[in-house]
Amino acid sequence: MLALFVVLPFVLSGVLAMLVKSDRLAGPIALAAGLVSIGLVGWLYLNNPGMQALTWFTAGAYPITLVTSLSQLHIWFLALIAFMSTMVILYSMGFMDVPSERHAYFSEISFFAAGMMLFAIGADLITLFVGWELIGFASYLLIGFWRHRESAVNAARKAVIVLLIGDLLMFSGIALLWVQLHSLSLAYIEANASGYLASAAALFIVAGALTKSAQFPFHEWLTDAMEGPTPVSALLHSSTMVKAGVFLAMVLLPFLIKAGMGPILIGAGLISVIVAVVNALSSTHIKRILAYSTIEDMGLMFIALGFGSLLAAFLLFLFQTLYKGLAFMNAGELTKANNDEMDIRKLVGSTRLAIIVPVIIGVASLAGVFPLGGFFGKAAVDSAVSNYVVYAVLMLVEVVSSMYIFRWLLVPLSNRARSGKSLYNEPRSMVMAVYIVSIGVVASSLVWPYLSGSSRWPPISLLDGATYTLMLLVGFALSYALYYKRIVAARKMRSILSQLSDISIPINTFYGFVVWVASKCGSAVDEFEYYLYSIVKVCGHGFVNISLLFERTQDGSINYYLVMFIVGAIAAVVIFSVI
Amino acid sequence: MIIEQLAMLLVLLPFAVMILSSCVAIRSKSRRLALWGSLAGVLIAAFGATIVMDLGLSIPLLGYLTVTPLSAFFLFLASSGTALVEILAFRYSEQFQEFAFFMSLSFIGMFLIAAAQSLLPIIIGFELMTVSTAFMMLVHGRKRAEAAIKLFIFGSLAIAVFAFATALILQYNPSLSLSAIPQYLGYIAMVSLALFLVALGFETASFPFNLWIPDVYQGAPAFVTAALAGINKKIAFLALIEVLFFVFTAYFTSFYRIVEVLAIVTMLFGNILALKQKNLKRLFAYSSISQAGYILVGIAVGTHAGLTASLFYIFAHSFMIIGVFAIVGFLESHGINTVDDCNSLYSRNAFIAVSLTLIMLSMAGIPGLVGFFGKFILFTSAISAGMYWLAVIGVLNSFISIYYYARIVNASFQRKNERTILIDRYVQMVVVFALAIIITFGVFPQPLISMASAAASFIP
Repeated sequence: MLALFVVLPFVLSGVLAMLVKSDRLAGPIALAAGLVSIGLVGWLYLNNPGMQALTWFTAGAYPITLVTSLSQLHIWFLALIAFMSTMVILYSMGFMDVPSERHAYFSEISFFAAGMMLFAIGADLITLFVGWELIGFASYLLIGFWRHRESAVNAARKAVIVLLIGDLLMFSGIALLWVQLHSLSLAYIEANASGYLASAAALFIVAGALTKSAQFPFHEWLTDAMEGPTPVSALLHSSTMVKAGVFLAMVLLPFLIKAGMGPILIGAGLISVIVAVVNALSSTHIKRILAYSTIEDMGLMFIALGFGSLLAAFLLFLFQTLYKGLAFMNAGELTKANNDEMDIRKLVGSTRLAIIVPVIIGVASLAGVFPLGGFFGKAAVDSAVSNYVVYAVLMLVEVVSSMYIFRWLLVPLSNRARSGKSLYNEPRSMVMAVYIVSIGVVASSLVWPYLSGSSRWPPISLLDGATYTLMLLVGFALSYALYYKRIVAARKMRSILSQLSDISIPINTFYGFVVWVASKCGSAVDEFEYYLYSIVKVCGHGFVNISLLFERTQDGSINYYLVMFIVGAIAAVVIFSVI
Repeated sequence: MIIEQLAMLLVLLPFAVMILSSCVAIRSKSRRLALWGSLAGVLIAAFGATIVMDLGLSIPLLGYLTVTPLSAFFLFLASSGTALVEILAFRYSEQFQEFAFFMSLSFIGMFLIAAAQSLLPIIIGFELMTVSTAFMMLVHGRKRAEAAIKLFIFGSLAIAVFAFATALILQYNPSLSLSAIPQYLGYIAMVSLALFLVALGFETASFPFNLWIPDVYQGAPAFVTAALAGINKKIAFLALIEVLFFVFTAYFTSFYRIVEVLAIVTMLFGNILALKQKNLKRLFAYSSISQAGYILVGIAVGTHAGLTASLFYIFAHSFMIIGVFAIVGFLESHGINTVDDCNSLYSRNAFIAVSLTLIMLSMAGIPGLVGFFGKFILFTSAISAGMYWLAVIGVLNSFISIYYYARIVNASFQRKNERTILIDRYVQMVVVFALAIIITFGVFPQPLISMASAAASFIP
């Protein structure tokens, strides 16, 4: 189980960061763990032990086996986690400037990364599920990190409720597969699962994946999760957490496609994408826009997976990790420079070269400007789509998508053009992290075709690329005209926007319906729980009364005990004689 | 051959070391000598047991005894348990040399039962264990006398019943060896089986032969209670297995129902009485009774899987209960005797509160701790043998037990209290060891499962 060692540094730093005396050391310890992890992942890449199995325990005739795998998919995911976690920790060392918070923060973020790495090496559903639960729990802690804010606590609660629903769904899927196959290793499942039971299990697992990746109808928690510290968002939205759902669907893809889950993946992805872009365009919260953009990206990945193209999804997966991490880091810088203002209409951007270049790199990659990674990822997804209706919807979505992301960039800049102030003075570690990730974004865009055999990457047709760029330009032009030059007055703009978000009304109505059904189910469960509680309470009282009755047998007199002993002995003899 | 002789030496050497060192220690009034002598002895024994288990040896001794991996499993359990108890006693006993002497005698008794190839060593072993445990209590002053006398009286009664049961089958088994007696022997064999069950029901603390247990556990010093609950009762399970599955193996269809009923009533008795219990020591006495019921589940199932599960749970519970009584004894020495006294324990001593919580969660069967896997494989073995009700009642009992464990956990994490308690390093050592076992095998139980499974395959 060589692969398990990759989890160790972050586990250690998680413990150490909590125990260490000085709060200044907590950050460096986590950072060191991150660097060691990167080293370990590199070492594993060079000395790949492949798939390894370990019998966890044997229950009856069936051994429960833990399997770890280091296929290309796993190892790249591991590398992304190690890199982004380290960068986020570096960034946090500057961002988290309240000393008393550092112990808990770095400890929690280390455990989060450790759970994520455990998830990333899993090749059986048990390991995956353990990692899945760990990140769910750690994200609950991190989202609600600022406990003194009521909104943060509520957001954490909302997240954990949605995630627990997902856990339950996934667990049901796992249980169904276990009943059918008595083995939970992915390879075995893919080879042997079939029939209705397997389809039901696949449905449950897909639903679980959709909750983690914040897809419709489970997407609400992610936008509320913005209440956590910005570096946490940078981690949650890039390499970890939301990626867990996509990754689960990726490693199980042959099984899911065989079980007929393709259309469901596409449908969920498509609805999520539409909901996300519309909401992103009408939102004014700087981090919320990025959160909707994450939902959009995840939706695109699910669409690609639904069409069976693992590599297209993975290409976007790779680049999305980097550019979304960078975008959140930039957002963190911007808000920190503006005294934690989150409204883009009030934020003031900077045009200083050192600031604006990483921002532009991030936005350009996110939007998908040609030589940068986002372009390849999104164009690969477009090329994977083989249905014209879906393709047409995606084209429209891309216009809106490019509109909102340039709006995200341009509105603060136009504010600056008006107010003219610029107050950037952030800690060096934040700047360093931003630069390194920017370099990562650019470098990955340049070298990706040469990684591990270019022939295996998905084809990107020239036509798709060109169409995509066209849509991008349309969106940019609209955005520039509307938000930077402000061709339309703000009030008019708002009315247009409200009309635009009318599109989302049916979706929101549907969502309301889902919530209504869920709350009805909830109150039914509540009712049931009340009866259950009553039963338990009555039983409890019964037991306590029996307990009092039994207590009379415990009066401490030897005579009585002897009598009971002999009565028992006689009873035993009589019973045996009767048999 | 050389390895076997060496292993035999390793198995026998400890007794010489322990007895001699404690005798010399009593003369020279040296507590340290007694401790190091006993520890050296049990460590050699544990080492020997490990070798026997590792190589799968069967070493015959004196015709009446054979050290097999099954006995080595229990020998390992007994020796590590004894080591922990000795450390506790070294800290809390005023009469440690005498205690060590009687503990060594008791350890010999355990060895005799573990290695028995005949019913005689079992009788002698129980006598040694009962008498020396009673003396372990007696040397700690007159106020322990009640508990000691109770243990002694019931112990001798049980041994008498055991001897009588042995006598009944003497004509079918003149050598008294642990070999199967033929089926269809009629009433005599049945009565003998019934009496064996009574005697061993006493030794393993199953209902209705266990009414004296809470009194004794409460009255004895905590470290003696730890030895009683953690080692003596566990060795008694081996004696039960030896009698039922070696001698009466042909009668399985007659006795498994009875054992099943014993398991159910024992679980219920322990759990229900623990519900209203205020005194910590008594609460854990009831809790250990209910845990004995879980172990009986595997014996009632009787398959290889069931016995493996039983052995697993015996091992797990032994360390859990020793850890618990280490903590309870520590708390007692600081005037914390009841559940209400546990209030704000966390702010007074975080280590103790957290370890107690972990051990109790393990007993209740929370995943990630060894108790969960113990119960899991116990109940799966019951289900795969078709004993659904047994499994259902077992799971329900786990729920009941959560209630009283939760009361303690709830109390310990409440409010602030500035009167901190300083941790004692001997207690800490014992608790850390127990926790290490609980967590290691809780996260990764396979080594213990295969050990128990290898040991269980020596049961016919």
